[in-house]
Amino acid sequence: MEVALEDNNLMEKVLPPDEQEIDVELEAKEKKYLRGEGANLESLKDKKLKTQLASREKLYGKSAKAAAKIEKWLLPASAGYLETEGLEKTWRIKQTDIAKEVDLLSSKNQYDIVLPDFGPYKLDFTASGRHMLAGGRKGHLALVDMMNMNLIKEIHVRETVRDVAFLHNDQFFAAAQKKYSYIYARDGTELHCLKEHGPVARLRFLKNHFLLASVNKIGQLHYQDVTYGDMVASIRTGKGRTDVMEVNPHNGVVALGHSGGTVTMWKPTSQAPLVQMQCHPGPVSSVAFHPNGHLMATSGKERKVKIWDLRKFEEVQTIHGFHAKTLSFSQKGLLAAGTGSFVQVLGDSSGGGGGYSRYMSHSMVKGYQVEKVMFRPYEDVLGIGHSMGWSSVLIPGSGEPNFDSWVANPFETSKQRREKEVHLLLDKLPPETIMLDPSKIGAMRPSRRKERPTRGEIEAEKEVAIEAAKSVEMKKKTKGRNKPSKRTKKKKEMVENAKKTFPELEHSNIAGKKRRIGEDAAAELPASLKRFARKN
Amino acid sequence: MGSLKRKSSWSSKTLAKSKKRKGPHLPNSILKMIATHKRPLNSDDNEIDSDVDLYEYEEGIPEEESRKNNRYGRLDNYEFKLPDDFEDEDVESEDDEDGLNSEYDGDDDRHTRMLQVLTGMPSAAFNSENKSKPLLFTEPYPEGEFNPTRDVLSGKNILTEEDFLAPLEEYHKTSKQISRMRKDTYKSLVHPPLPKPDRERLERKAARGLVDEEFSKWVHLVKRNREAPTVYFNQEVVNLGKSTVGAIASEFQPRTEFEMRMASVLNDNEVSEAHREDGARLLELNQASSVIYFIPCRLHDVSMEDHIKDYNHIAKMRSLLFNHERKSKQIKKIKSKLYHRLKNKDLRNSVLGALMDPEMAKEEAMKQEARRVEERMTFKHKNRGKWAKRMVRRGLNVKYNGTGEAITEQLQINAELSRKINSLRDGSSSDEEELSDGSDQDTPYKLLAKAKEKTLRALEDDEVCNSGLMSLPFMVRAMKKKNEEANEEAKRAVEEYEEWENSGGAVKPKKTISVSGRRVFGAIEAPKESKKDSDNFYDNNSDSDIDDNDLEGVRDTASPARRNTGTTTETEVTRDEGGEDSESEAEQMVDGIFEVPSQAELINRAFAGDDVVGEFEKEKQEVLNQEVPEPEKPVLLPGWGQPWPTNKRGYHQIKTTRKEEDAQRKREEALKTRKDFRLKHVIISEKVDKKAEKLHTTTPPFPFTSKEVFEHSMRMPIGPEFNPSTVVGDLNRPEVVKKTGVIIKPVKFEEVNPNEEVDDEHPRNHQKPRLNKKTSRRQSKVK
Repeated sequence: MEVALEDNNLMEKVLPPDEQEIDVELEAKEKKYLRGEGANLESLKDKKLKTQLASREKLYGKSAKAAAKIEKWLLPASAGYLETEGLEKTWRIKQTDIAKEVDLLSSKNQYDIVLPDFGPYKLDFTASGRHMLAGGRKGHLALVDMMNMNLIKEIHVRETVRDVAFLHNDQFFAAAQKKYSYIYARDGTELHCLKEHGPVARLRFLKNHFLLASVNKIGQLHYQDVTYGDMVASIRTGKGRTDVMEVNPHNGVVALGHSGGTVTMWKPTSQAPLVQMQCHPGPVSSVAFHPNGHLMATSGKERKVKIWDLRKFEEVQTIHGFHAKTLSFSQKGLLAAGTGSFVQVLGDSSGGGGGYSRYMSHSMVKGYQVEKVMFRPYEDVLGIGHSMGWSSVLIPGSGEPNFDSWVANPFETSKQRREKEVHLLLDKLPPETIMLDPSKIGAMRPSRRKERPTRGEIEAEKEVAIEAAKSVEMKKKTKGRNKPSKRTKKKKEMVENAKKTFPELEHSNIAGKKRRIGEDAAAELPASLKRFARKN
Repeated sequence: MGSLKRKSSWSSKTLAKSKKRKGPHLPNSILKMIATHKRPLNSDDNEIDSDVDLYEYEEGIPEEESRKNNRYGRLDNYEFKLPDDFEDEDVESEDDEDGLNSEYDGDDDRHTRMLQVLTGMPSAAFNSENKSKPLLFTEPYPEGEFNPTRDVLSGKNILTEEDFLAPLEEYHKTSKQISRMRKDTYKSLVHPPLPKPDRERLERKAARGLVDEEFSKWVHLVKRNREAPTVYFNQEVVNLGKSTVGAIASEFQPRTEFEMRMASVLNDNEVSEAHREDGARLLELNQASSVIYFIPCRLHDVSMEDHIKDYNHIAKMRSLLFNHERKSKQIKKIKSKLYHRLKNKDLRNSVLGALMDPEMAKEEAMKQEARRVEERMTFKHKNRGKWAKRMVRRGLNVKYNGTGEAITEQLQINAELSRKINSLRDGSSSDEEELSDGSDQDTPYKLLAKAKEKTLRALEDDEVCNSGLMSLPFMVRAMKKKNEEANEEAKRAVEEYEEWENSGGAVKPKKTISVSGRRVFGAIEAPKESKKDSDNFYDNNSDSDIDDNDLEGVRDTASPARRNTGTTTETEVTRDEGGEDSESEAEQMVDGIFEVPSQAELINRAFAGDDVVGEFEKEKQEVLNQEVPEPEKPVLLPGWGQPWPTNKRGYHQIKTTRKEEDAQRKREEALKTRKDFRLKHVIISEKVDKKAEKLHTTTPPFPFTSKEVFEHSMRMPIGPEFNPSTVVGDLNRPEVVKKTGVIIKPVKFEEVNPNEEVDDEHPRNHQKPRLNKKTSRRQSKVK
């Protein structure tokens, strides 16, 4: 067995660098950074544009090449992995086995914290993975610095805590409590009481949009802007109570899992769901999104976990005989699923998302009930919140080895944090940018079918047309032909003409309404009596 | 005689002709001359002509030739006939020659003489000419520069250079010049000029060629500039001079005497030292310097004129001041009461006056307060004033809008004032609270008592207004009826209150609330609700008037959200039941000899109760109907459009069904183009998000014409978060790089290699490498 955690490339066998191999590797990376093919410039007639675009493309190529080289040579750390030899299976390897192999710093990340009093714990990590928030069901809130295992603040709210979520950094966090949800500062001060959300079941924070999304006990979805406190949207889902909610990190779309086996996806600017998917025959117990936003995992009460491709909305894989109360994707695409006192981690062997199979498993002490699993960002660590506290286990190859200080920096100083906060606020996205395919922003508006204009629209149009006809300046004609009577007659004619273009539509509309009313009445009657149905 | 006659006719003819022909303008003198030298000849004849009436017989056209009425055949005119005006040009008529000769013989001498006198040349010149060239007048007008001969016009007898050179040759036979000239003449024959359009076209062509050549050498340069992603204009770094005030100040050189003096003081070490250390010393120095510098300056600089000017100015100012003072004194002396009253009033009215005089301000405040009190006391703003009463009585407030508005305004002000008073009172004593406040502290007793009191009062004062509209008999009757009803109701209410009071407030009214649209689940919730009701009963009612007895509003406000939870709980309950059923079945099975079914089957059975998939399909259908509505069916009354006896498809119906089919087909097509057409388990909303519409463009921006190319060009982000720092600068460089203040000079010509590729990394002007602060920090930045 070989275990390697990130930053630990001692075990990596370095092959003599084969030029060709490197080239191939670089090319693959370059392709990734090119983000698709350039347009076919041959078809362009505008020579100036052609040359400009060609030079642009060249620059893009250069950029991609530079990025690929940086990724290949300059990144400081490499991803960890777990390799077995012979008959060994990766899922048979226990945490104790791993502990022997890894370095001291990593082995520190294996621990159980037993807090039996305050019930199952919910967890949340900041984007950098530096801080963790644990919320016990019975009112225990704890903010922990994971780097030095320092308990920053611990408070008891003395009522049910259903969910916890960090806001944009570790300075603020929100907790969904019995009646309302609250926002606390890092030092435990209560800053806001969010009464409008109602008794919230799940809380999620949309980092790029600065929206706090919540779904409450009566199935209402709320979006609140945390920068200026406005309620951006409150949506009645109409699907009943749910406590399954996840945010797609790629596009900010919120997914809810419902008791009818459907998963609905929402954005704040529309009252109707963007997508409804019938995922399971029974209630959906949890949903998780891959960081690239293309994969979604759902688990149903009928003991199935399904992986969906969100680009095609098709099922990619079904994992049978396996029920998950909680699901979580890691940065590198490992999928953790927890049920009872058992946590299983699935790895994607194919790379395309279709081949998830057992990678590792971890069973806790019997009787512990897993409440929430969540991978710690930029670390090979899985956090497990359960009924007796929380634990942390090592899952090699789960985290992104190289953090990007422009995105999230675990070693952030307070000054950097402050600057970052300002930058984040400046880069805040408006809520309407949440859409299924955010790469379409700035592109051409998708052509839509001509919708039938509503009655009001038609009327408005008619009015405009009449006004236009009335306000037409008449030409001054020669003496005999410039009589006022003639002019008025002409004007009237014009107005009539303007009106003439509309009556048809109007009639059809009225007729439609009449028919509907008549039909309802007629539908109930036997055929022979239908002719006597009252038409109103 | 006949010849004479002919002559005269000819001469007159020529004269007339020469006059008629406007083309060649002969000088007047020549014309005159021609006239004079002909006149004497013909004078006799003219006389004769004038004396004797002579006329020529003009033979009429014979009838055969006139061809009138086509009386004669065409064939009879066989003989060739020249036209009337035919004249053989080459053959001179003998008559003419004879006549001319005879004519000219006589006056040749005279003519030469005259010419001699006019020109001052020897007569030989004219004579020889005459002799050498026999006179031939083939033209009706004299030959000249402007009247070319017929030969010339027809191109026969062109005058060539040879003709001019021939006489010269006799004298200078050996001249080389002439031979050269001759050569030249043979070489270049003078051709007539080309027509103007042709000439211009040629000119243009030539010019175009030249210009093209000139311009084509710029093509590469222009192309390069046009294609360059960035154009640099800061090639030569120009010194723009000092930009800051400090920089300008540091360059200051004292020039005038005054400036120099200032500079010497400012730069004096002693002074600056004193300034830094010792204040007293500075003072001393200051005095000394003023003595040193300014006294002499005074003495020297001020001239007598200036002094006088100064003096005059001061005198003027003084006199002005004096006048002003005198005037103000005069004003004080004015005895007119009216004047002072108005003045004081002005002062008082102006806020300034009040501010200036504290006593006055106090007085003003007192007055204001008094006015306010009076206003409150007199209820000026209720419609109880004399005017208002009259208006109301006469019904004028209804009749005239203006009055009505005025009254309502008064009432409004009244309401405001009374509110103010109330608020003041509330501040002092919180005991008194109006019934409408409906606070929680009110005991039911108190409330009841108040309600009762109010109703009683209402019962007592049901006086009827007897004026205006209300005095009309039917109105009176109606009012009475209403009053009676109200009284009855009030009585009932009072009875009820009494009943409650007797029972000590413990008797709860009958619960009239029957929640129709909701189901109540579980045994816990119902008592809870009732308990809540008993707790908050009075609260609830205090919101609406007690008299009202209207509790339906409360009933109606069952929130839709609650209803929603109701349904969900219901489904849960049913599901639970289902689960129990299966469990019991399982138990049965365990009890019996049945084998235990597989897990999948069990699950299927467990979820057998709710047809989730079917529901979803229904929902999808609904959404589809909403987003792609079904075509409307035609409206037909039964029997209409169908001939009787009814055949299956009437004419009318056929027409509409075709339309219908069309619409149906369209709908199906629309459904087919939807993303979720093939996905049974998915509904993808295709509603247009109006808010997000602004994030898209409707047309591609200017240089782009195709959507595809535009979108491909947009695929790469260009920000520093997404690109290595080495390329970010290139990606984001503006189209024009220019330093502010640099003058852009016109393009200079330079040789450009057309095959050279535009190199963006090394701009043409070899800039200094810019220092990018972020470069080092973001070395590893990739995303």
